[in-house]
Amino acid sequence: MSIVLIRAVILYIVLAFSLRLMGKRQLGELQPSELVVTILISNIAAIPVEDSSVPMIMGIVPILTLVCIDVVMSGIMMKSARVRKLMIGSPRIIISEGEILQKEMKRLRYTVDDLTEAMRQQQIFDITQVHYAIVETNGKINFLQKKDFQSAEKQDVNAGGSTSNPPSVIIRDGVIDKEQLKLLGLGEGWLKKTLRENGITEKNVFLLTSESGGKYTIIKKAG
Amino acid sequence: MNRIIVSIVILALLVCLCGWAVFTVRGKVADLKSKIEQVEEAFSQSDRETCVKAAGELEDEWRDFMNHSVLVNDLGHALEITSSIAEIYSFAQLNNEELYAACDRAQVQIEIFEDIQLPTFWKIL
Repeated sequence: MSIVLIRAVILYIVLAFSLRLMGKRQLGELQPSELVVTILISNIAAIPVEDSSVPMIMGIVPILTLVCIDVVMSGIMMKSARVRKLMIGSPRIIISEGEILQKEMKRLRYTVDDLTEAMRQQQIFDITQVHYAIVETNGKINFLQKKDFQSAEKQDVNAGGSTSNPPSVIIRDGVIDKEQLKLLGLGEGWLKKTLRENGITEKNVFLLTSESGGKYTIIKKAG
Repeated sequence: MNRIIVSIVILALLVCLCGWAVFTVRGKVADLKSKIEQVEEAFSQSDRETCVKAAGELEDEWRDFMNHSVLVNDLGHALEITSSIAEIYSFAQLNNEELYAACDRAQVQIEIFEDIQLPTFWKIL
């Protein structure tokens, strides 16, 4: 029993390290090769935990091998468009100029139901509203609606305003995030001055957010 | 880029580990085979004392090998070898002729065991 416990802990560490090595890309939309690696890893990791007669190294070696090959392949794909196309394919257009390309849909084995379901997921309920649709390499379909059905943007109605980064958290639960402070270009002097103006110390701050211009919001700790 | 370098280093280490595992298993197997031959030779020369001593050393050698069991693909087969080697020691102590059969069995089992560890094309498939 204790062997299973220790093995589970070690495999957790190995898997956490492996996913970290694979990077954030892996945690978002999965490409076909990444999906295969993820499924394989979860199956391989289960074997040494379930069966104590299998040495744990027999689980760790294939996990690390798969992860490392995946990372190296993604590096190669980054450099070579040809390898990228071979490994993950290329996006395919299935609606162009409002016309459904039935041959392409058949080639991709996409049914009308798949298409209408993907439309509904993007709040489009009428196929005549679609001008262009593309199947991404991860299988997701993205649509571009005809001009008449697109929502108006600020520039369409001449509503101005500048674009700025959203506020960042400077103090959370009494702890200063010096990195954010630096990223916003606000020094510790600004922070001290702000706290002094509000008559509090950092320990009494529950949340302090600020924009790069120095516009801030303070929420004091309760009690 | 750092991730790619780390991955390449890990892959290289894994290849080295696997290569080392194959060479270690082959080396240990060669030691075991020569020990079995020593036991048989001593028995055929009716040198009981040397025979029992060599059989004991064979058992120790095998136990030492099992400490490297993480390198081994097929532990089930290894258990069969454990029983054959235990028999060799018993027969050597009892001065029993069946020791020859036990030695031959252990030799064959160890050869198969060694063969299992080698990554040949057909075994990979």
